[in-house]
Amino acid sequence: MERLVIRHLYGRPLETLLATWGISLVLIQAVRSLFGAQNVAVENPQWLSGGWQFMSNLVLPYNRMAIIVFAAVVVLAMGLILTKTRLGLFVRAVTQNRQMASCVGVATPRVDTLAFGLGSGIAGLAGCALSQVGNVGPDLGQSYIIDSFMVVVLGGVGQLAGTVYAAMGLGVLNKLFEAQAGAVLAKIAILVIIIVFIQKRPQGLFAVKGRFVEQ
Amino acid sequence: MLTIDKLNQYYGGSHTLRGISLELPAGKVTTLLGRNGVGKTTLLKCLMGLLPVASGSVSFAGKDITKLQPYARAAMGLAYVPQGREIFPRLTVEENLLMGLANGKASRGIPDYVFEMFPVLKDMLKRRGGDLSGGQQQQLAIGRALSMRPKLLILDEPTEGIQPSIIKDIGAAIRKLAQSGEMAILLVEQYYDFAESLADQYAVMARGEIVKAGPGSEMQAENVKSLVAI
Repeated sequence: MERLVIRHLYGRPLETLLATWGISLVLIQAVRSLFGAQNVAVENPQWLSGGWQFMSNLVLPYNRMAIIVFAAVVVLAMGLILTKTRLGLFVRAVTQNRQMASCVGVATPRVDTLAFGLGSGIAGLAGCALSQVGNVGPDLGQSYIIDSFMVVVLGGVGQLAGTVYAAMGLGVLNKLFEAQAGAVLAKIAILVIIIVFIQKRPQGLFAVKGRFVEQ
Repeated sequence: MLTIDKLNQYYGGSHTLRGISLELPAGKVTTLLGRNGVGKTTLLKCLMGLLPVASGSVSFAGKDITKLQPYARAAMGLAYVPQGREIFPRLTVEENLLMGLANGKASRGIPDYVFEMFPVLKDMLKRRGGDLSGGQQQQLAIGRALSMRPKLLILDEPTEGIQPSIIKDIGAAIRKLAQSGEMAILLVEQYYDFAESLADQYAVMARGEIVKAGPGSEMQAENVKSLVAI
């Protein structure tokens, strides 16, 4: 996939976005043709069923808590890979200066493929986690696409910490509004907040600082 | 060490390199001089594989490398210090130097002579590369290239916008590297006095061609300065 399509679109983020979205549509339809349009129920493992009776009217379900822990572990692992390993170093170097990374001996096509594989793997993990919450169907991911784009825009592209804070902030805000005004109004409120925010700080929550920024 | 044979390159409709031939022996500093826009940097990019070559060949240690990707050339021992330095701004100084080990020699670590030549880098290991001053960035770019333990070091105007004391350090470093006898050095320079003081051999470019070449000791007698000065 990466070699076939994305390779030819490096340096053109908009086209990449469109192309990957197109591919996702193709894949969704392919799954539908192969497995049928019916959602499939995924049996929760025994130890994830039920919940923790926190108060008489508040139950925290185990499966959702497990997902939170799982997400935290994945983010941590990702952070470690990016900052501590050779591959992480190469990925960061290639995103900052592709030509120069090649000149010091980084096999850039290999790093591209590995980084893409890493990303796809993480997406797969997210899919597994989601299967614990709801039914699994071909368009499971669709409802999350918008949210994830908003998180990326808010957090700043390529900033792991920013992404975490943005995701937490958006999720919590969304739920708070939902309690007050209902789900639809809450979404609208969030969108308005983001639009205002982006106009004030186009570079996202966690912009890169330093003397090289102005150059 | 490196042989360039009748290299031609076009940029759009213009013929930017016209039949360049040059030989870079090990243990010698070759300086390439010329005014702005005569094709010096283009030639270097062709050597590193950043630009494709229209015709002619580049061979390194007896092997034809004309069609190789930059990272393959780096693995063979070519190191490039580009104009404008191009360090990785959001990596620390240490990580920048470690990138020099990307050509497969990781186990050996950053060589000590990098810090001997540029002690300032040692004090700044944890700072981000992009926060360094221009002179420090230049030293870092050279240090990164040296971490690669190269057989050929290509420097594109290392003195551009740098204070005199650091130019002196860089000059001493280049001299020392050449004297070790294993490394070929190609120095592209506009600063005539610096180039002359280091040159074992020289070449002057104009309009994409080498118009004059010879041993460095004859630079003064041949009045090379007049070809470079405006």
